[in-house]
Amino acid sequence: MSYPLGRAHLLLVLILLSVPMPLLADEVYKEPQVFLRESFAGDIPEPAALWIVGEKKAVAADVLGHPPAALRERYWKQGSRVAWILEEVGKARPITVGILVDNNVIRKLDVLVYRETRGWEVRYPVFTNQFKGAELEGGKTLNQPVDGITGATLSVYALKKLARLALYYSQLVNDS
Amino acid sequence: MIKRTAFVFGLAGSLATPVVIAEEARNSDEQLWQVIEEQQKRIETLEDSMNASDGVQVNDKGSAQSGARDFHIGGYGSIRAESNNLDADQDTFTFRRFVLTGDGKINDRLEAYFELEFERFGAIELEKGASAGSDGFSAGQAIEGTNGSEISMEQAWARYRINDSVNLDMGALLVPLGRFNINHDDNQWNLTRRTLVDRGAPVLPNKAAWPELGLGFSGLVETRAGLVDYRLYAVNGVNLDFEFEGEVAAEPAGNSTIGVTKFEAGFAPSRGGFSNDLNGNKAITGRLGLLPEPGQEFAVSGYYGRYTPDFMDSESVWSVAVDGLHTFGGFEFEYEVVHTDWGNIDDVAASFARAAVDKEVEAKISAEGGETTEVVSEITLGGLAESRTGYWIEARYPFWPKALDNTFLGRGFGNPSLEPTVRMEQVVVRNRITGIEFSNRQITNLEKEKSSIVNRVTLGLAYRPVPDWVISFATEYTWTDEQTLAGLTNFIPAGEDEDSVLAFSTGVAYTF
Amino acid sequence: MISFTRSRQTRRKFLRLSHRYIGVVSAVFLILIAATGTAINHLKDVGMEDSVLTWPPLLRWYGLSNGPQEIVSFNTDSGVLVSWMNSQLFLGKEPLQLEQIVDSPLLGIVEGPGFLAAATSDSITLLTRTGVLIDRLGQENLPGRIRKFGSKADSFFIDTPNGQFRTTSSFLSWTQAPSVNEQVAWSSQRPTPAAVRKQLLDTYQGGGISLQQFLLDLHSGRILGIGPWISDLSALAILLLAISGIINWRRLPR
Repeated sequence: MSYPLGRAHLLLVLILLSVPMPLLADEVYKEPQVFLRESFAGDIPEPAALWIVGEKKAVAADVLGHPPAALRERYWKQGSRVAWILEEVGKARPITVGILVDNNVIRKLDVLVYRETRGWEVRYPVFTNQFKGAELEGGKTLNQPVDGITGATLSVYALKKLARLALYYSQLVNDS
Repeated sequence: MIKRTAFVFGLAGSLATPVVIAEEARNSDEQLWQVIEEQQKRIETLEDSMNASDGVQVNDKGSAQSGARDFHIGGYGSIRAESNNLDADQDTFTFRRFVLTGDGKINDRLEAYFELEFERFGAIELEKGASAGSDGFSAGQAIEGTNGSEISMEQAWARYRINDSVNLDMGALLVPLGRFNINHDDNQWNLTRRTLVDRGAPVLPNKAAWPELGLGFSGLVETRAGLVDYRLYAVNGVNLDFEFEGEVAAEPAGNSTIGVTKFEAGFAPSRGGFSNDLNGNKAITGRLGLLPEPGQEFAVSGYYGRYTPDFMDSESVWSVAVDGLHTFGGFEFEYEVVHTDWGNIDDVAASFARAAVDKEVEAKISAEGGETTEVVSEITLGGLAESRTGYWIEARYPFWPKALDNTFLGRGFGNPSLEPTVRMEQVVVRNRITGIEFSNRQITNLEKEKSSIVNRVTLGLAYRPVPDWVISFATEYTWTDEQTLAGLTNFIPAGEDEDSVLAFSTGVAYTF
Repeated sequence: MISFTRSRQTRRKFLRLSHRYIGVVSAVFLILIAATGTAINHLKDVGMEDSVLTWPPLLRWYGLSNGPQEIVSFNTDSGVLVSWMNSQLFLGKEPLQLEQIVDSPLLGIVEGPGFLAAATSDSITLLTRTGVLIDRLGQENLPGRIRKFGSKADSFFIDTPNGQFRTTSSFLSWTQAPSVNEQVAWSSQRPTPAAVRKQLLDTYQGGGISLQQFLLDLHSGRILGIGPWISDLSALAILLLAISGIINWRRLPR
């Protein structure tokens, strides 16, 4: 009797052998330190803290759809560049994102840790590059469209919220 | 003193096994410090052993949450209220479905997921009883419930992640044919009814949501052309399986009545089994998608496998699909084209006849008083057509007028949207078996319909307060070139002359 | 079964022997029952009525295989008690609703102007004195794995395998501190007060096994998981012993 799974198995094995296998990776795609080093060309400034209280807390809550978890947010500022490492839940688990804002314009957005079980397309540059050059419009929304990815709706939403938050916080930091 | 002795006596006697008593029982300072020192030592030994292992730091993953085991229960549900111009359909609320999902993450590389669907589900009750008495013995069983109730395991799989580009998936997996089946959650779609191609007049070998039991590989690969997303599975596969129906009827005959008891085994293509595969053959299914940039997605997918059970000759079904999503100037266009070929269905019918011997066997039992009862057994084959082709294309324009920000529609929502949507769909069915007669293992009559087309256009408006909840309003017009829509879809109860339907519906799809 | 057709002598011998064997076999159980019964009656007198057992094999036997983890408590200078149990932090008896769990046990707690700092081996959590989260420093914000946490004057110190580091009350950056610093007051653990421990365990863990329950289960035999049969058999044994004993006594040779 022929081995019915033979063909299927062979096909699967052939596919597997032909796929390039990068080093075992896990959900931490970039260490926060690496993100900071890249953002400041190796010369990471001392961190400072922005207190999110009162009116600022209300605005942040409006952007996130819920009150921010902590009373203060750490940032790294050098000249016109401000870097943030923020976290927001997509569907069920937090996504850690590094955002570099320069003169109130997003220079770079990197997904540092992605913990969801689906929608991880959003961590690729193909998606995050869309945030480059984004600014706040009308004080609340992004001024350029960010296209979603089928099956990653909530992760996309989370990243958009964090982008707006980083721009808002940067405004506060630059004004003070 | 006596009390204390009594206690000590009791305690000493009963505690034959060594038991650690809670710290506060010790009431001397010395012992307190001992406990603390012990814990301190424990921490230090742990540290030493960790530092000793090649200087690799424990938990170097960036945060304490990473790698933690967690489980998240979620779900989605949808309801529709509908009114249409068919004779048979009443205006009705439909509990489309409620789906419970569980998403478990053991660590970075192990995940498990399940999806349990309750469709049109109201209640199912089982009653059983046996009784013995002077007039004999009886054992009976009754099943009660609301019509259309269905419980289905839609997904139940485990994933072993070798890396982002190669995952091993095992279990009840969604067949990656087309883009609807793998993304069928009702709250993802703007209109109140699933597409004809995937569900209503399915071109897919089995209607969505369609899971199959098997295993395979999936993953995302970053290339210069964009993100490549692939899946390749070996599964049990679609099979000719049967539904068993029982029926009681009363037919007037002159002055008396004939009682009819009928049992029917109706064979038709069904989704693959989760215990014994009906044939030894595994089916292969796969999908290759490309995402050159967000807002542009394109994929080809396919399915191939034997669908006839062991007791029939082998015949295979193959299916191929092309689908995509394109965004231009604020407009979204999404589409799917599927073609399915069931092989030589004449051969399948003949092979079925040989196996099933006779289609219908009838017996009339007459009693002395002239009453008769008929017992009918029927074995039949249906749902097969030589081939089916279909497509759907949907155009949407998501927008949000700032003026609505301060109304109840926008207040409190970070990213609401209104999305007018249009969908156009067509399904062509070729050489569909509409009637089959056989006896003595020979086909005596095989009726086929050359080709029929079902068309539908839907206009709708969806309101999304948050990206994954939707309230929609839709108007559908469905029509065919045949005399009637009856038999062309699995949900329209059209009359003999009803070749079109106009329906209005409102729906809500929510998730948590 | 006592047969009345046998001779008196055989009967007597039978009674005597059965008394002996029943007695010997049930001795162990009877001692256990007597002992546990007495212990249960006098728990309150020795103040152990609230005691809880946490021996892991015992917890496993009871099906609480994950058992409550240890509770670690620290006191601040002003008397605030912070405890850690099962990845949660507690201020006094109240749990802190922090979005992130605290995986590793608490190593120390220090008070600052208007805030509390709670350190584990890979994180420092800053809280207001009412338990609202101010900030959380993860591993990437720390110069090494924390072994000890303490303070001196206005500075805060951590001891790591990479040396000792200090920071100010803003907890934003760290500078290396001289290795041996005698004057730093390192945070050290305190035993968890009984009332707090009981509250934490009862409310958030369902206990461990209370001593009283354990003794009761031993007493009745339910600890074997088969119901109170041991106890019932023992009761039957006592009954038989009593009866055979009385009969023997009545039938002593006069």
